Amino acid sequence: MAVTSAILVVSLKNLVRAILALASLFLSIAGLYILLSAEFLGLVQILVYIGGVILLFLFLIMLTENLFEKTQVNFLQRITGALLILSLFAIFFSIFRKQPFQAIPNVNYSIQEIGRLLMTDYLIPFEVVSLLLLVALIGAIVIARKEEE
Amino acid sequence: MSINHYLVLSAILFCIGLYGVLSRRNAVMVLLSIEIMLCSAGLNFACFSTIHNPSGQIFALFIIVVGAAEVACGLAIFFLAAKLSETIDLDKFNLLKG
Repeated sequence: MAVTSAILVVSLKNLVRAILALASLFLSIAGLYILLSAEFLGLVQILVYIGGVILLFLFLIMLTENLFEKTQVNFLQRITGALLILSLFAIFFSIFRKQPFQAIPNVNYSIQEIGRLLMTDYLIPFEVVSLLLLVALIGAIVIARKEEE
Repeated sequence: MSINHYLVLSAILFCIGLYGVLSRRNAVMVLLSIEIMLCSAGLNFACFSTIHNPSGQIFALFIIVVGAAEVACGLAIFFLAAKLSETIDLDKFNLLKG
């Protein structure tokens, strides 16, 4: 399901449909996180991506629909890209084939554990990331608002 | 499912995202493809955190946050560029030529 929706995202022509396919991709990735017993990550994925990012994309498309629909396809670029990506995937696959299969150990990191790590070992990266988010959002508002004459 | 399945899946997702970045010319489409690539990286982090320690989940969380910030900034820039140059085609942006 994840692979199908990812292919849909890069191949659909209509922007709104591609964004909805991206939402389905995010949902399936969240399911995979939960299968990996990373429930916190799955919840954050749903909240941030499906609740925030997809909504942002859809709002922008709805507000400025006329500007987003006029690109034509460059077939040479597409074919070159596909060849490059196929060779890259062949390299990846030849690496993976040599690895022994490794089962997923049955761990269960609780949310308390992650919160404790965020407040002790990773306190400074956590604060830096929150500052980065603040700066990015303020920057986005400053860039996108109308110029005052 | 083993670790290898997750790794192959995230390699496939990364390749699809890279293909999107290379082949699409609509700027918003390129942003969507970058999101796919970030997702695959986060999946890798979460996958390896099961065999080592929970730090990987924290880095996946950071990836999600940085992805959200990047989308906000990128969309604002594209919105302004589309208003100024009347196109969203990446090959036709020439606002920086001075």
